[in-house]
Amino acid sequence: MQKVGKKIWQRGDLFIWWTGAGLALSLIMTVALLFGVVLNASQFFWPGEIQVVSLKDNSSILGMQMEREMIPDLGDVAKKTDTYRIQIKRGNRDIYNSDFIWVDEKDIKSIHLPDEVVAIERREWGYFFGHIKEVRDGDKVVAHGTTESLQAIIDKLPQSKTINEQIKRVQKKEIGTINHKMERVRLKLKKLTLADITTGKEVDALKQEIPRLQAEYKILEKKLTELRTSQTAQLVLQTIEGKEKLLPLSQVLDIYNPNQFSLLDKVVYFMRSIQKFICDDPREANTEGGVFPAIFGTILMVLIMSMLATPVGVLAAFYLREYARQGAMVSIVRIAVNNLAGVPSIVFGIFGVGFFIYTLGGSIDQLFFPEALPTPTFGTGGILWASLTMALLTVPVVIVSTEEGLAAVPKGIREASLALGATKFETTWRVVLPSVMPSVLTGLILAMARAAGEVAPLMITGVVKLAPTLPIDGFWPFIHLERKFMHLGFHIYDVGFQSPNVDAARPMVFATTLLLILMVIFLNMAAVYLRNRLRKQLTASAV
Amino acid sequence: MTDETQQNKSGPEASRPDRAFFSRNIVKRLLVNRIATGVVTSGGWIIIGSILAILFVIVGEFYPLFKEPTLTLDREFKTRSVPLAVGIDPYQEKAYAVEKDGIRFYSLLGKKFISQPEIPEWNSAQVTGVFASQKDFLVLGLSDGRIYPMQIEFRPSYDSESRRTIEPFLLVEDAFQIQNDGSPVTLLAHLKNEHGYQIAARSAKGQVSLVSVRLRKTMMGTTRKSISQKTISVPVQGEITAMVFDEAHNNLLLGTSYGQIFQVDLDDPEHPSQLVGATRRPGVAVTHLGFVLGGYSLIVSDSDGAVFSTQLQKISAGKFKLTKIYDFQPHENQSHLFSISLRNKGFLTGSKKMVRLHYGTTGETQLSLSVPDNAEYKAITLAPKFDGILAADTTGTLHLWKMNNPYPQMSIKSLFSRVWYEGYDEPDYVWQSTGGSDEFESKLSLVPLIFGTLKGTLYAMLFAVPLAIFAAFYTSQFMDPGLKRTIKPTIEMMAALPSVVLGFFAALVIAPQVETFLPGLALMPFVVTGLILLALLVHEKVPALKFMAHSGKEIYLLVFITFLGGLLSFWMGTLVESSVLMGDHRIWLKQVFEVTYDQRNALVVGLAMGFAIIPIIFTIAEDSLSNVPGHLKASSLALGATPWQTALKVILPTASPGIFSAIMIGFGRAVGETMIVLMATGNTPIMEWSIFNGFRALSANIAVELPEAPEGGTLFRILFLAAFLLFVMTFVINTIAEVVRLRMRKKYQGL
Repeated sequence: MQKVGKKIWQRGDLFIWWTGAGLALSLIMTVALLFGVVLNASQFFWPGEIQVVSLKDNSSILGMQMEREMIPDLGDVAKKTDTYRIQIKRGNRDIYNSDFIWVDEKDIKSIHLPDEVVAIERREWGYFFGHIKEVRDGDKVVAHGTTESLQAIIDKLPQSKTINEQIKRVQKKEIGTINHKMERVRLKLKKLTLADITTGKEVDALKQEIPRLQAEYKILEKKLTELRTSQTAQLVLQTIEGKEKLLPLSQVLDIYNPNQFSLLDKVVYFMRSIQKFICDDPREANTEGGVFPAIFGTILMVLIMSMLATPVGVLAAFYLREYARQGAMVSIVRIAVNNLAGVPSIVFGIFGVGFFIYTLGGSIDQLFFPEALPTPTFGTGGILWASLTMALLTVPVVIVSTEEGLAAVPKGIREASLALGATKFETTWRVVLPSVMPSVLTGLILAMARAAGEVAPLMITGVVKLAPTLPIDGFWPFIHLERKFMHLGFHIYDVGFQSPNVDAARPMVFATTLLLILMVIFLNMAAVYLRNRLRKQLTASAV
Repeated sequence: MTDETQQNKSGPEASRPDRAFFSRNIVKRLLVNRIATGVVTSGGWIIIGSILAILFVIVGEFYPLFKEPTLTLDREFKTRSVPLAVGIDPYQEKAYAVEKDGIRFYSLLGKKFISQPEIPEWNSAQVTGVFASQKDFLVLGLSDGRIYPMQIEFRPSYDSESRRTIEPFLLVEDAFQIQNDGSPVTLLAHLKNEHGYQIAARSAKGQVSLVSVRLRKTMMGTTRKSISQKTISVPVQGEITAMVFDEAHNNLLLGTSYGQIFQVDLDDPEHPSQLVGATRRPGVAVTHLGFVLGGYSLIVSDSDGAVFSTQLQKISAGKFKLTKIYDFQPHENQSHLFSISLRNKGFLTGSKKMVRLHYGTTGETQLSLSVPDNAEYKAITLAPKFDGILAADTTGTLHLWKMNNPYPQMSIKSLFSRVWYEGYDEPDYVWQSTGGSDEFESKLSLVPLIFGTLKGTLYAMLFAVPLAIFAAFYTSQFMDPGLKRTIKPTIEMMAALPSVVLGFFAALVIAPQVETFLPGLALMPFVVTGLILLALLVHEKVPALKFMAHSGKEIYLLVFITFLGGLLSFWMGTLVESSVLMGDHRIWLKQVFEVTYDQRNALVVGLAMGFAIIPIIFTIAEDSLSNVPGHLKASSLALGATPWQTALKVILPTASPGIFSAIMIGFGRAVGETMIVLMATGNTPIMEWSIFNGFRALSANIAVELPEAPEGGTLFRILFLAAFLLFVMTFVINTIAEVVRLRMRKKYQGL
């Protein structure tokens, strides 16, 4: 035994294995993190079963079991209680004030799955779990009992949704248009006042516009009331305690009985909730609904960033490699640019605030939008400034990647081109640039991945938790670069930490996290793939 | 080269959109070439320059913090007679002067006398003493033994062109007879608040007359005045030479010609007095007592010219003591003039020949103003907006200085060394930018934040460096090359994880788990080592099991062992916790080491930040280990060294600069990491090294406070300074790493 031990010691196997354990731990951690995120996120999409938990004091709780943990005994620590408690999501926030309740296992008599039960996703107050007593249309009772009502509602739901859509369109689009026009008129008037024009044809025309818009608004308002009153169907809901609650059908977003779901139904529900998550607008202070505006904001920001960073980065790299005289100065600049990639992102953020927002934005406001002051137009955070800040942050990535590509282009090719009589520019444009294109692309994709995942600089340059409008809409000039926007990463921070109902929102945050990770990893894999292809290509061409 | 590019070169016939560039005309071609060179060169310089300009913008934003305050003499003119006290409106347009025969208003803009308001029942008295508060409430002591309280108001009004005019008004209160024998009143003090006012006047040796006027709102909405007047005797040595009301404790503080400071309790009907402090030595008279804004720091001036600040501290019930805080730059001879700022803790003191501006929080003397010619200062006041100084001298001249001093509390000292703030027992490093009350003084020491940054970085490095270096060592030296091709990108992919994800995961998943399994976590390295040892012995002893760990593919087995070891140690941890650690490690820590356990602490940050920096360190370290020239390894092995010996004695020393630069770059990343520290710590700016406490880092501080900081304000600029520090720190670290790496590359080329 001793001999073996000595042998192992001398050969250093223990140390080799030890170093290997370091790698193993890193791998386990990465996998565990991804696994944890995926697991938690799928919980958000997968339909849970609704249980009835009967307690020993003869009361019952209806809901979905979420977690099980050991009861922390803070009073007497010497005694380890081996008792557990479970967390039940019982919904009905309007009735119970909170979505969740902890129940000690020792108080539980039995748990069973009721057949007749519904889960209703509502426009407000989160989920309702319980029974339906009846469905009314006006004063007439249309259906009795949970099962019959469920069918009746499922039949009526599409129609109700159509009306809801119409209401939303009137509210958002048509009334929004009028509000927009009103604001434009107000600003134009103010602009004229600033230019010392308070009377005249122009002013009169604008002033006449106002009552016309107001009349239009009245008409729309009437239309809205009509639409609203046309929704007469109501549900009489009953909680497990027998408490009744009236719910207009227009408040219902989705209704189902998860306990009767077959596997196929569950898969369908799973897919549909993923689709809703991606395509819907957020509700209830971001804790419910989808993340569409955040996805939109993230992608738009990354696109604007790419449009700004790529040409600039490529130009700088070409200058450094192809045009500048290689010497100490260029080496220093190169090191500086390399290091810039390591400067903390928040530093870029604060630069964006100081320079772009207050200096540039402030001047733009004074020059072009004096009528809107003191409300800043460009002098506050917005998607343009956020993208510019991000572009600055990612330019070094593009420069470094492009430079690497340029260094890999064999000198012989350039010399051949020059020897054939091409000018330097022709060589660069037609010979060097095409062969360095994959490098540029790699840099660009890496830059996009970095920009998509970075939050800190955005927090101070224009991301908000809830943006009322997207940066692109139907009003001229269609792209509103001064608007604030939503971002997936900030959504995680905000909902996970600042939301009033963190417990209820947590699964949703995991879903957002998964989405962001997938996005970033996809971009990175694309970059790796490109780089590998490029390497192969270059080794082939070097022969 | 690819076919594509060769096609491009194949001729100008190829129809391409850029054909316009490539004319057949040689002159045009050369011209285009020239232009392109110009564009690329200038463009390159502009881009690189503007990237580097970041630094300048940041410096430009915080530089004004350290600008020396400046004073410029704006105007001077003669008053009708020598003023005893002066006051000025916030816009520095009008001023009042208390002169022997009453009060006069002057226009500073027009440099002229405006009016002398009629004062009822003046009875051709002369002003012999005056106490003027900064809020323009005055009490005059008159030669006939009366005191006369009055209020001066500067009312702004705006005309249709929104031009401002300021109209001075004098509102007089009732006069009181203090000296029944009609001798003049020379020393006064008063206190005014919404409940009314109190006036103290020296009436005889060791005697103070106290007048208090209380205003009460009646049910009818009118105010009722109740007046009381009494005399207090204080057993002082010498004369009473200075008086001030202490609003916080409802006391009257008295300074004497002997140099003592007494406190008279006004709550107690007996008015007991006690000695609370003294000047440096007996016989040096107290010449002025005054509180700076907030009523907390008492400034004492003496007949030697010394100026120092003190705090009244309670030592036991009813017992107080004055504790000295700062000595300010002294005057050459006795200083008796005084004026405070209504904006901050700044104040003026003045002797006959010199006026100095001090700042109460930092203990610094910012400005000094000597008197012109043969005159002597007679009265001074600080402009209400802290942007000017008005002084009157014995020649009857008013001097108005404009002051540019927007950040008086800022200096290298207040940012980086201990500052004695009001209400603290000792000087300390404190960061507290916002507070509840209006009189809250922001405490802006960067030291706790720098400390927080370093603490977070340190714990992250302690966790990440060994793991990353081990992993790199194993991957580069002992791992099967085929396996390496899949493992390396996997680890590198970790680097792509957004830090907001890591922060979120750390705070909501890792933090509670660490809290539960802390003892297990501590046991883990030992348990895993033990298991590895066991596995090695079994592996060696039982040849049949050799298949489990082929050389270069031990990692499969190791993943399993580590995973098993983790589970085992967590299980053992709970055992240890219930048997040795009193059932709960938090209570054990509290009792044995007296450390409190925060759920979001430096350990959690270390683990999460480890995630972020492991792949960075790993990648660079692995590259430099792999790039060690192959013949070194081959010759070492050929000489009979084992792979471990070769790796440790040959490869590691050669690659050590690369590993060093890997660590530096990881360090740089950890220093600037924002979201993880923002989310996974409590963000409390405390200074404790304990791994179980939170901290606040520079970067998180910027993210938290910048949205609240008004543009151009002190906080705003300090945050830029914080960003500058981060920039410099990371830039220096990265540059060192880069230089080391470049030198190493040259060395390899030589080998």
